[in-house]
Amino acid sequence: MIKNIKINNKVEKIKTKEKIPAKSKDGKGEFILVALDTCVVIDMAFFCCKSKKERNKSVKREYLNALGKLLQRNVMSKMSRNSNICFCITPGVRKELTNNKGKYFGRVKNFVERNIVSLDINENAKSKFSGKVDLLVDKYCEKGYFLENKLPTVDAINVAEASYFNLYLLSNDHHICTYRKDEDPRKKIEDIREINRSQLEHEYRSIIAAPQRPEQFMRLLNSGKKMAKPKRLDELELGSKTKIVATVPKQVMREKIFER
Amino acid sequence: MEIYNQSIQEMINKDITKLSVQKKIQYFENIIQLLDQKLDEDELSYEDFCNLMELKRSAMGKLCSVKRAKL
Repeated sequence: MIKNIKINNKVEKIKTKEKIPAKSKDGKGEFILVALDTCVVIDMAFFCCKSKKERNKSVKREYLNALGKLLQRNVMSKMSRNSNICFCITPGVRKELTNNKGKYFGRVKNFVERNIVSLDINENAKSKFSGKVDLLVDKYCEKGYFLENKLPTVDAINVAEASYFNLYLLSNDHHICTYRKDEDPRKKIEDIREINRSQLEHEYRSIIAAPQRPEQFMRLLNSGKKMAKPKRLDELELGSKTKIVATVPKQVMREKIFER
Repeated sequence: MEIYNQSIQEMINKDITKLSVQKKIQYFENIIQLLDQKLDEDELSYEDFCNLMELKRSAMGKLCSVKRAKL
């Protein structure tokens, strides 16, 4: 499918493997695109779609409730009514959840393939994409974030990729989000935003792209505050040469969800 | 499973500074492949899956660092 879209005041053609979501099922509102960190995908796959037997008491109830409520608003869910959230994973997260043949691991396969859009960048723009991600990772590490034994962790890559795509990133990892034991929890988020702002320049929308916990995000949704609306997948400002390749779940009722 | 995780952890932490960059890359890729096989098992519990994933993230982090240093 090829679409004409407006990027940087020029009309560009964007090529995607599939038609991608434009509006919610009721046709009233736009989707909120939300990137998920690996730990959130795993928790959703294990706890929110399985029997209560498998639930683990060590996982916080408020966190699980937030995941459950978010899933109810997932646009891919057949059951959802007020669906306006489209869950995405970035290439780094997909790499963690798949084997070397690119197949999702058995325990998360069904969940991911039914509920989550997998994002990637077209071949021509991949080197630019990984260059920018590497640069962001370096800058985060210079500030002292996402390091283990002085080496950058994959957390840095996941944050950088979500920032590049200008998406909300939900994570339960205290290395990524604010943590109550941090000396100044807000500083980490502000520093990340500052780095993104300086490195991604006009491509970056700072209100959106900063990691947060699912509970925080749920509170933000419920607060009724006007949220910074991400653009549709095919309208993200990634530069004129960058095209997004979105792989959408196969087993949902595509016509209902994707047809306008 | 605990013993398996422990031995993988030891492999990840092993000092391989004397190896060539190519060998280092191969070393971590092999570890990730081993973990992938284990992660693909259908009967894994939540704890086992998370522990294995933690190890995979750690190995991936080291692999990325080696590749970045190469550049």
